[in-house]
Amino acid sequence: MSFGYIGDTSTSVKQQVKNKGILTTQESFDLERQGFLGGSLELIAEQTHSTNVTTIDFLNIKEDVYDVHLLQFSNIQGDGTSGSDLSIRFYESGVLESASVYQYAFQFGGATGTFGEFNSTSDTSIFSIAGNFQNNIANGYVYFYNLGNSSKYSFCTFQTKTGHPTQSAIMKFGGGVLPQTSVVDGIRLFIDTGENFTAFNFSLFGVKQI
Amino acid sequence: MSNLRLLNETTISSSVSSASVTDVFSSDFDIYKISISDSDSSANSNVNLRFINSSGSIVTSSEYDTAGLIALSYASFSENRTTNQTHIDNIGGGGRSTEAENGANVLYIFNPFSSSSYTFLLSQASVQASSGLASTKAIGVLTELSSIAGFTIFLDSGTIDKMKFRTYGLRVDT
Repeated sequence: MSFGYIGDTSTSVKQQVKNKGILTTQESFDLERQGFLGGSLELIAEQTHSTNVTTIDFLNIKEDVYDVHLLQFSNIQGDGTSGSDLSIRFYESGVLESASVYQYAFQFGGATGTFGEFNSTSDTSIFSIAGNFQNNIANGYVYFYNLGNSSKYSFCTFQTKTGHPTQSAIMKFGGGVLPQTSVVDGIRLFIDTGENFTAFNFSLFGVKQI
Repeated sequence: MSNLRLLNETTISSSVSSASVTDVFSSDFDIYKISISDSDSSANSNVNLRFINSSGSIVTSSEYDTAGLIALSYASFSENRTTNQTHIDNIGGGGRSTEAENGANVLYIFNPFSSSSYTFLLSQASVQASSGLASTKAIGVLTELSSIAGFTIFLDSGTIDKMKFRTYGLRVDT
């Protein structure tokens, strides 16, 4: 096992066991078990399909513990026959924000050759982080930043890939923001056309910052 | 088992023209992750990066190349390309004078300590600019075969008033 520790060994480093560069297997185990080694992920909540729903809410997101969250999703499918775009809204202190206050920008690229950009400064959601995935499947991830910090805006970055009705497959990467200094304590996922989710796996993690 | 190993946490809490993290890259790791958060600056400015070699000297030679896409919520996206410059230009994030507008920046550095490989960088960041969201995705390289042990951040204009750097090594155990 080749790893060591160099550099600043002052108290500014939050290392629970001072060492000369080598941790024993037992020390590694103990530190990881106590949450002091490894910028690991804590699974906060997971939602999978059992019945068709139009919205999926994460309402206990531990925003007071984590300043970075990771949302992973796979096998997202809808029952619509028109466009299906996976979108996000936030809850601020328990109240769903659905006014035209969200901003986003993303690059997209289709497998059949069409690339482009899409953006808005006044939408009612962070629109189309994945999609249009009509009759196809969406997969991807989103990082959220500063959700629980009442003095900062709530940001996200994302990267996704979906099947596409006319372009075979489409990728997207970009970011979004709720430019309001508020505590975001919930996340809503929905399909903008209001159709049902007929399949989904969403996992929300807190990113441990040791 | 693979994991992140926190190597260094550096916090800037008073105004400085540049902020450096030294002696964090070593032969122990090939890939490093750096998060830049809790930022504030005296002026709205691009954020730039230079590397620091294993002798402790900032590399200022004209051997940095950059390419970036700045996705804007309020206008057409813009591209940023530079070659043979003295720094990696505009890694995004952290250069806003209103603290709430500073989002986050995550960097990955590849092969910094190896003197037989160039040092590469990936960056992804989001900030709220005056007119709206700016989300940056950038790549950079130092085309110099030197052993790099740290990095320094500076702005096009103004001072860094607050900034927190967390540097991790991507550990691969066999």
